[in-house]
Amino acid sequence: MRNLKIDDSIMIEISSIQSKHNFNRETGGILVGVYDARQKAVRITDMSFAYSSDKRNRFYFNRKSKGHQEYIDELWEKSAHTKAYLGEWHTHNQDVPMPSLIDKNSWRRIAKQPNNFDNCYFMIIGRKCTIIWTVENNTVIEIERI
Amino acid sequence: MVNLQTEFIEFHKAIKLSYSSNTELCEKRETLLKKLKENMPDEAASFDHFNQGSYAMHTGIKPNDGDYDIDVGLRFSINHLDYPDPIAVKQWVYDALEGHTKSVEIRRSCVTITYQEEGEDAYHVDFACYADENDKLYIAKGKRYSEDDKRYWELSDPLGLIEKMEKRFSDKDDRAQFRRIIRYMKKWKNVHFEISGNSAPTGIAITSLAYYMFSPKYENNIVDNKRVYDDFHALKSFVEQINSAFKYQYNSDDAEYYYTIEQNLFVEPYNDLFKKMSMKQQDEFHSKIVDMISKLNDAEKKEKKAEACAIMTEIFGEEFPVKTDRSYVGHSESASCLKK
Repeated sequence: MRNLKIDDSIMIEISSIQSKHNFNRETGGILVGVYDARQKAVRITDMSFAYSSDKRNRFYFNRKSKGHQEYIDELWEKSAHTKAYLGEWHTHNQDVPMPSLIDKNSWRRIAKQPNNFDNCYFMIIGRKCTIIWTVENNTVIEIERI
Repeated sequence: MVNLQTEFIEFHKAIKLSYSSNTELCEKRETLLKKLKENMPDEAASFDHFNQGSYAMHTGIKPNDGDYDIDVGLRFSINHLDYPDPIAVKQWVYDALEGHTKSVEIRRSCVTITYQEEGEDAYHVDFACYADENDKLYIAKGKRYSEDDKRYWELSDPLGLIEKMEKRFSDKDDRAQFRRIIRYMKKWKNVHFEISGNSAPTGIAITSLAYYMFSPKYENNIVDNKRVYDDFHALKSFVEQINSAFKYQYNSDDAEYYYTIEQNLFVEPYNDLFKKMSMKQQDEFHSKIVDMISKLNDAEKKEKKAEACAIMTEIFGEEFPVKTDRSYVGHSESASCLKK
């Protein structure tokens, strides 16, 4: 599997969410990135945040297309057609986040879509720890802890 | 496979050396030519100049190390037999330009003038000196302190080289693809080989391989009957041709077998352009060609543009763009636990 790199700006966003976000209500968005030939890696460069049409609750986050689609479209245009949708992120009110069955099923479904890259990435930001998973052969695999 | 033609054309734009955008180098050449005319020693014969090399053949790429070069031929009205030591003619050029820059150097095939920028070589102009006898040109070879057998006049045809390259394909779009493929291969060479020494095939060796082995690849669009060029398959077929030109040969010096290749220049002096590479170096060139073919095969199998482009960056470096299609984000559901 190809390496995954995360821009510093994304790392800053993650710690900012951990320190400021009220974990009583889940939030999330999409992950966007490019292929970085120098590092031979896919690199996460941008993340969108919840729009008003998204459904948010203490125990769930349902992201709609509205807002996020326009977000990626603009990034795609501005990046000379190099940035693409890489996956999803959302928060859990847990120190060390664990994906639920609903999360995993959603990820498996998304991984089968005609995406730009072979792998998609799914990030859950917990109160103390952030974990990234991918889906390989329909199996959810943890690839990185931040 | 996915169509990468737009990406190839963008890559070509990024690597192509365009002298019109490098006016500084053209100005330097003009200044040097003026200096040459003004300061030629009295004993020097009259001369005129012409552009040669990749600039004249439209096959130049931007250098890796930022050291731009320009090749100029100087045609002296002399009979080479009157100058048994060819260094005497190169010395005229040396004397006329000495002191003009920090570095004037008589090299084996030319006199090189180097301009420096912040202590690093930034530009150099190579003057090749020829004896012009009834349109036959002899190039002055050798350095100042070379042994006698390394100083000689060699029949050479720099203008025939340019003309044959120009006439190789009568169709201008075929010719443009021919030049693009040569540039791609030169870029590949810069990415995968050490620049110094003889480990890499030279630009003229690649150009000569292409002269004999490249054939244009395109499809005719059924709607407007226009040609749609396919650089990916033109490149792949050219590289496969190079691969099949190698021979498996025994080297008695080290009792090993090596893949070796020969390719003669297509004008005088018709020399083998791989001769300076050792058998081992030729074998390494072969391995890299085989590796490139395998990567091209991998890219051909990819159904996603970005994944195919990612493989192309392994062949050509990061200047090959990794383009993505428009993303459709759909929707997603997340839950930390189920609550009724």
